[in-house]
Amino acid sequence: MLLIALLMDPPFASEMDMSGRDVATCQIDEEVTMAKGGNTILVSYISEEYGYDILVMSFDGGNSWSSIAYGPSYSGCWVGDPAVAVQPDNPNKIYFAGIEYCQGSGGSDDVRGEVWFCTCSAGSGCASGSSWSCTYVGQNDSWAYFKDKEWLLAMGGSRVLVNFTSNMYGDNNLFIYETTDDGSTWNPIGYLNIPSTVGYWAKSGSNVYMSYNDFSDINNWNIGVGFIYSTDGGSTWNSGGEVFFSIAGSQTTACPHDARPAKIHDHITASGNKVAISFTDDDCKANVARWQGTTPIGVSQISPSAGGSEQILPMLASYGNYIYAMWQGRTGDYGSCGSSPVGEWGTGWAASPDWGSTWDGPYRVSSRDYPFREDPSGHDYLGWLIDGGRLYAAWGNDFYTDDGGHVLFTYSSVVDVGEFVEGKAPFLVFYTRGGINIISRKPVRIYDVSGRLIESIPAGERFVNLNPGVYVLHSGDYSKKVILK
Amino acid sequence: MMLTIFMQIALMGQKHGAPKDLPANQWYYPVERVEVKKGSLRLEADAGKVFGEPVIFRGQCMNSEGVVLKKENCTIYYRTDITDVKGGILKFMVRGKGKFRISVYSPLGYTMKTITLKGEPVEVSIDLSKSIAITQHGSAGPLRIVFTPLENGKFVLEVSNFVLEQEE
Repeated sequence: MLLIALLMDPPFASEMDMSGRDVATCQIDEEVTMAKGGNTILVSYISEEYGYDILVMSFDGGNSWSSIAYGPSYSGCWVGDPAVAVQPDNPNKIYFAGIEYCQGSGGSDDVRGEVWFCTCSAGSGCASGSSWSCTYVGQNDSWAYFKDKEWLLAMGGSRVLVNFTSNMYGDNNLFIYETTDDGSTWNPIGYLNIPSTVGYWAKSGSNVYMSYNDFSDINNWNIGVGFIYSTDGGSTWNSGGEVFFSIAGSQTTACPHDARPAKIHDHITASGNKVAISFTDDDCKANVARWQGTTPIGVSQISPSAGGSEQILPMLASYGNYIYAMWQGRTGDYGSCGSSPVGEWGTGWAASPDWGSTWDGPYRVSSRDYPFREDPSGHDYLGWLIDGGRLYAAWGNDFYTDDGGHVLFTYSSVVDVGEFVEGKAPFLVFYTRGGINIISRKPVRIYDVSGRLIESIPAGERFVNLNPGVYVLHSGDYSKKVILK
Repeated sequence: MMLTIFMQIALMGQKHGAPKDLPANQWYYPVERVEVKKGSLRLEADAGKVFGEPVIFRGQCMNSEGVVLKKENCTIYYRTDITDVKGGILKFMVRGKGKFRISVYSPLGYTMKTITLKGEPVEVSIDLSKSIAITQHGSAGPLRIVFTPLENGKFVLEVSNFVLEQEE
């Protein structure tokens, strides 16, 4: 009930639909990711219905969107794990990658993969397939091995780092490759000598970071999450930090309802020389492990008493000493779709002003809870980043009203978020269709431009229906002008 | 804001043939760093539960420890076509010198053990029911047993045949 109370109203701007259609009943759009650079925003996801990785692109800051898709090139194969990147010195140059999976002959569990990698330098012209050139990362082994979970880090010019996990050398190891010519050729940088299956990138100044999970002590039911870092743009790497958490209680990487192995997750963010990695622990709660340089400074759950009984896919964004986390949390039972159990979930966020020592929230990102397919579950990650003072979010609403599940995109006004989290502002305002959403620690009075009191609201989260116009919000000695168009 | 989506489906990938299958029921190792010859270490069990033949590996690997990223592969693994793994115990004997991580991948997922060998034969038992999913694709395909040297320098690893004891 606490979660429902806290997540009563959406704090972010009105959600934009990145799917553009209702999906077929009991199917979903899944594995949502996002990248941004300048006015270029990329949102990508898997369309289970079409069997494609979909890329939705905006080159004007989100005012207009177009899309393109990558499909399997061989019958019996399928695509997944979409990843996107924007070249930081050229927002018209974008990258779209994923895994093309094929079934091996060793039974239904014998899944093989190759990492496909596509480049387009045409900006808005990337809506045309002819503007793209595509290759496979590293050597194309003709689907002899398992390859999975590639992530991209555009470094400027034509250089991109790519990591992925593969059993090319027996164990599942994380491999790093680089291209300096937009994917025409690839150089192996090395591989991590531990069993590891998920690694994300982070960049802060000239430092590059890669997270990893570590199953080298799973015999004792311990999973590690850690990072390595590079001070020369990814050519050479140093040990960073690592923490282990126990799954001895459950002896599984899955959560009670979400059937995916949620505990293999390890998203990373870095700011200055501080590093944070998020993961889902054995209580299925979102955690953050934090370092100053390579010195560990703490591990803690973000929101143990609210934000969902199961909290999966915690994603991090940061600037300065702030960390912002977003995850999907289970809020209750729902029913089923076909033979698949479906729970009720919401997408929430929390903010920390002191690099994860304390957290404010959770608050709502998704405007509503939504039925979420739990087995088979579809999602491995969410889109969450901070750029230009705004938080951007993208996620999948699996089944809205049991059908039409959409991939949604929204953004915040981070100037307000920063002031609110710092305690300088007693309330936080988000513009949405038909009014405003307010998160407040104190009562707030809303006046129109003539000074007439429109509404007094108590502390908490609330949607206030307002007509277009100019309003002034007061709380104590703090006031804020709001213009609704 | 009005959102307009222009949907274009483009098959940008390259056509290719069927997935390449590496031969099963044999050892894989980096031939440039590891020598292999027939071994003598045996573990007796019912015929239907035994697979593989004894082998001795001798190698020299200089970046097994103390490096963040490896370029030189020193891992030795036995790839099977066994897919009907329902739990049970995987047993084998090892003898040699050096520290190794033994990883076992199977349709049940992943489990592992670390051993240090000092010349005496050691029986290794791995409880496959302790396997967990470490990828989003659930299980890990046919049974695969992986030996990774964890110390720099020369190593010797003799591995017997394998015994997979499962409940009927």
